[in-house]
Amino acid sequence: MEAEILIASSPADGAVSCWDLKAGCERRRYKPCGSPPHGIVSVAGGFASSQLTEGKSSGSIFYWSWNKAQVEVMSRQNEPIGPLVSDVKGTFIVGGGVSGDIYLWEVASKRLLVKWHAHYTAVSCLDLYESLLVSGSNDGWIRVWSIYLMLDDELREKAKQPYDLSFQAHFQKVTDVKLCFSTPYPFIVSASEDNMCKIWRLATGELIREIKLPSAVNAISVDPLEEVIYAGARDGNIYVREINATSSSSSGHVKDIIGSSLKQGIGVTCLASSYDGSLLAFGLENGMIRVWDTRASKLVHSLKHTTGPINNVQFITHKTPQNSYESATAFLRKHGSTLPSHSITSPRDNPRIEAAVRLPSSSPQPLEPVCESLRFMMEQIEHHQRRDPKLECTQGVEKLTSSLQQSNQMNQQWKKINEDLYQFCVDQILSHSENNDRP
Amino acid sequence: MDSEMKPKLLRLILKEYMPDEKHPCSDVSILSDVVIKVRTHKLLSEQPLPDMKKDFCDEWKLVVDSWINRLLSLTSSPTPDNSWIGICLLGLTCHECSENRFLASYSLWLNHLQSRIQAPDVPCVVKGASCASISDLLTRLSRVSITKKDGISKLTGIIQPLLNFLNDDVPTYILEKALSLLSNLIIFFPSSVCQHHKSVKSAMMLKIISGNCSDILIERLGHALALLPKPKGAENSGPLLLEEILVCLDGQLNEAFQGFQEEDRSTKSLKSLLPSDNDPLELLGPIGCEQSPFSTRWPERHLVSRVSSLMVCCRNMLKNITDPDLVFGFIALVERILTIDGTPSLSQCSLMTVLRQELIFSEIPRLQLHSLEMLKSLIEGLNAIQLLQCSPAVAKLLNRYLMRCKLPDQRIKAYSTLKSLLNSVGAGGVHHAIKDKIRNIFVDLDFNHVAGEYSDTLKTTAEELKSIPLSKKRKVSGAAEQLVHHVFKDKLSHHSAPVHVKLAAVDALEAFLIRGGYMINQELRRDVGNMLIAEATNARKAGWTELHLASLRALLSSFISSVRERSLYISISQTLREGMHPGGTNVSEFCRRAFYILKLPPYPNKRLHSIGWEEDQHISTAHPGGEAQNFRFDESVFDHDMLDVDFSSNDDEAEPQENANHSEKPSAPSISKLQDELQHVHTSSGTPQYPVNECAPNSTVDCAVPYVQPLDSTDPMDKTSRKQTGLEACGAEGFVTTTTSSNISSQDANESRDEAMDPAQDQNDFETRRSALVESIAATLPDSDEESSDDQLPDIVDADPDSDD
Repeated sequence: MEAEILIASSPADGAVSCWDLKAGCERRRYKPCGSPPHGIVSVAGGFASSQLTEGKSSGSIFYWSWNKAQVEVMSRQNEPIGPLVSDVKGTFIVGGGVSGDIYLWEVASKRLLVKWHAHYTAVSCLDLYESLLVSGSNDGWIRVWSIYLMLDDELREKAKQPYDLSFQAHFQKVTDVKLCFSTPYPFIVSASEDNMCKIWRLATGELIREIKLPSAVNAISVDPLEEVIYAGARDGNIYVREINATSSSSSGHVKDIIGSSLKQGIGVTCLASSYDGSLLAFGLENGMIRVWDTRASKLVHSLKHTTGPINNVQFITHKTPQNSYESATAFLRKHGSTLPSHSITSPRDNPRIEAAVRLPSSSPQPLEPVCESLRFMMEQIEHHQRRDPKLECTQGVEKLTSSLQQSNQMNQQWKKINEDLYQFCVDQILSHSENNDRP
Repeated sequence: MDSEMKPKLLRLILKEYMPDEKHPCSDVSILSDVVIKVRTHKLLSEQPLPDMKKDFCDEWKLVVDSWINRLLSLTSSPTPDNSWIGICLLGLTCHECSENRFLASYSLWLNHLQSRIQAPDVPCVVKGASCASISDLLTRLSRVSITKKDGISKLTGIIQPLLNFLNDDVPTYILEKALSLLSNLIIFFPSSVCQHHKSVKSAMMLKIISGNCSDILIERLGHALALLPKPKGAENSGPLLLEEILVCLDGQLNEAFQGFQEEDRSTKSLKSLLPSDNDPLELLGPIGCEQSPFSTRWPERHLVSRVSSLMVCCRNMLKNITDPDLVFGFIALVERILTIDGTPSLSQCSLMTVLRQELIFSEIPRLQLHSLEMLKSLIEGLNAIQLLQCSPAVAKLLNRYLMRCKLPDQRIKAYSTLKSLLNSVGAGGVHHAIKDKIRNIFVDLDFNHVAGEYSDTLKTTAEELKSIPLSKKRKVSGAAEQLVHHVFKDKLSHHSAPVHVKLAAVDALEAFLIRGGYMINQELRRDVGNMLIAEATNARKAGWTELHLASLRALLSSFISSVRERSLYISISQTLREGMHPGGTNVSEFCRRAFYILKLPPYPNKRLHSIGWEEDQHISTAHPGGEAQNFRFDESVFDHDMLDVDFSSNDDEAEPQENANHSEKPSAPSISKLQDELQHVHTSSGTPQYPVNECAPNSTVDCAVPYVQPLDSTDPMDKTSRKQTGLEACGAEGFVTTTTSSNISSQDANESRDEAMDPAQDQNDFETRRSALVESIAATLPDSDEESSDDQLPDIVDADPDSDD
């Protein structure tokens, strides 16, 4: 069973709220969570969040499992980590630090696999598609990285630059960046505090479109078809822009349509599209979260998280555990727990640690859950049927006949030998008696 | 079926079909009917309907009792056929019977079945059936939620007989059932295996190393062994066992490759990956010593099957283990197998007998094929981060192998492994995986157009044929084409790679183009395009349909992932057109579709878009108006009633009630929605109006700011369009104005296409219609909007879609 749930966080109350929109209820609040913008990410069996604590120079990443409210520390770093991003299945997490470093952790073992210096100022936003990572920084630069390259020392040393692409995209902080890969000519969409949204060709980094907006943009979201950009701005509006006018003629070639947010002056702080793009959730500075049905064009939910600004909203597909087989296996409960362990281990101290967060694929399965005895029986029946009795009879008769022939032959031979022997003996006796008769 | 019939049917089955001591089963095929009847009608379920009489329930219970008694008597029958039939049906009963009955009797049944496995003089078939039935019993038992499970402690008793199966020479199908039972025991009742952990492991390893297992048995052994690490309980027992297997595999290779490969070279790589404090010999324990009988005498005899069995185990276990070192260890061993080329190293040449050399040499290709297969299935089984960590090593390995290997089957397998790798690493990795090496890796493809030379020879052959005098030509004309065909085919296949290798190479190249095609530079793209065109042409001429189709597919992938070049487009179109004949084939169907995809429509507007971003910018004027549609929705209009679900019961953010009557729909991103809404607003007077009328004055001013101000340099389309719509001048109008113009513009856009076909004819008609439409909209506007409407009218008139020329 898969359910899409909406999670939101706010620095005002330091909590993450979690709503099941289908069931229509708030599920749970997870505390304490001082997550920065873009700081929540879905990982196997739960979600992870980077933590910003005022006055602290170190940072950490917390992990919550869907099944329990207690927090677990996934990683501690010497600097606060801002944005986080993970792959589709949540097997690894990438985080951007305030120093401009980018970190990559494996979720299952909690190991820090690689860390590199990416920007001169703090990393402000990240996006990931397969093994391609794009990062935006506070000084307006965007860089594209290949995780494949970063994980191989030899390749990295050989490469001229560690990044695939690097360019100054904006004059102020890049607030959000998205990788769009559904077309054969992929592109990047970036948004900034300099009131601009820009679209860049991924292969070359050249600017394709520039959209000037009346206000600084806090967050952007691109619909799954990659035809429309939603830009949540500080002036309280959500600006909707068709990326490319090559879409169907029925919608015409209208280039820019501007939708709305709500109350004048309440800035939109974060945006998120659901997996199928039918819902757009946005958080506001007043602690409210609105969910907009993009197809029916109406607001469908208004959710209250707190009174402070919301800094993260996200749709997460949550797989509820199926009880059918899993509950049957005591083995799983004992050894292959889907819950992360509580131990906080420094990855460097014990690099051979067993997976703490098990991915669903790793659970042992019996080869055939079918009735074994029935299979055995059918095999035996087939085996019996293959033994044709008529054929067996003829084969038996043939065998007997051939052995009869053989014994007949043997008999003849023996007979002949006996006769010869008899003859020989008779001859011997006769000759002997003849000799005796001739004195 | 009527429930009351069930006991009767079961009784009938017992009487007519089931064997007993006096009447042994004459035809076993009748049993499948019995099974079907029992399962279909759920004859053993004993689940009466609520309105059933008690007598009936009792009767059913009695019949099931007698069914089970019959089975138990059959189970212990001295006749093997009766015995296995009884045992199998008891296994079926475990699945089908009611939970109460199962709980009451499973202990007894388990005893019966166990005794059949443990008894020494029981035929194999009965033992196999017992294994299968116990498996079923355990599966059912694991689903039952009871705390105390009787008889489970006795299960340890059957481990030893099961291990004896592994050591003895029993038929494969029996061994298969024994391994299934062992796997189920490990999964469901790991404690029962715990104390036998070592002996179970040794027995399985020995069986694997013996090298005389069938494929299915190897799969089962691998599966069971991969499950085994858990019962021990120790945290690191998982990786440790895998390490043992890796070391064992390494040992096998050492013995086999003695003299062919510098031993320390490859072992070094493995040792560096595994923990240094573990001595391989210690790890292997008894297995290391016992393997010698197999290895000292003709180690190369069973080399492939032994190594492949161990590899299957490793691959199965690696999927459950996150330690990348072990994955690297496995890859190092595969590398070791792939780098060996069958030439003995000079220092040890004299130590080898010729026979041994020959044996090893003949086994290497099979071994390499199998290792590539294992590598491929490993790649497909790893999760994203494991794959990213090890894929550079795999890519390098495959690149090197492909540059060196000459055997066609191995090349095909290597290409297909490369394809899996490229598909798995996805965007970001693909480019780096085979960057700069495309020409070297895909040597089987005709990058240098060598085949083109053959086309020339073909031409000359054809010309020679032409020069034959007409009288002779008639005689040869029938054979002429065939001759040309054969000459071409012979020369092509003689000088270039076999067609199946080419096919595999094109498939791998296509995977690269799809996942990383956007990154390759123009020059390489052109070369790849030309090469694929040449391959497609050659394949067409030689009649290699599959290769032809694959080349065309790759060609299409290459072309659509790029900024399309005119010259390449023409060549591709030509190739596709050629492929369309003769019709009715897969190739022609593909060519037709691809041609339609690539063919640019004659309409100017469409043409711009289908070309891509760059062109789009240059000729953007073709877009008729409709720019910068401003539209906003005020919080005051937001009504909670329209929420489907309102979770904000504690919502203290009161929505202004005075505006509750303005419960219009909020903004829409789609044009059609806007059109609908506008139509609604403008045609139904007296109904709540669109937000524009209700907006606070200050917000109107805010809205009037053009939201989109594309830079002249980057988006000339916007600029042009703004000029057309007069948006720059219209400063402070409301958004309805521009939205209306958007409607019209979008309609215009549709119509302008028709005009493109016949521009002169409809021009006046179009203008008239548009003016009428504008007037009708203006008439429906409320009075308060008059001002903005007035401002708006000229805009719309100005937004002439045809003004682009």
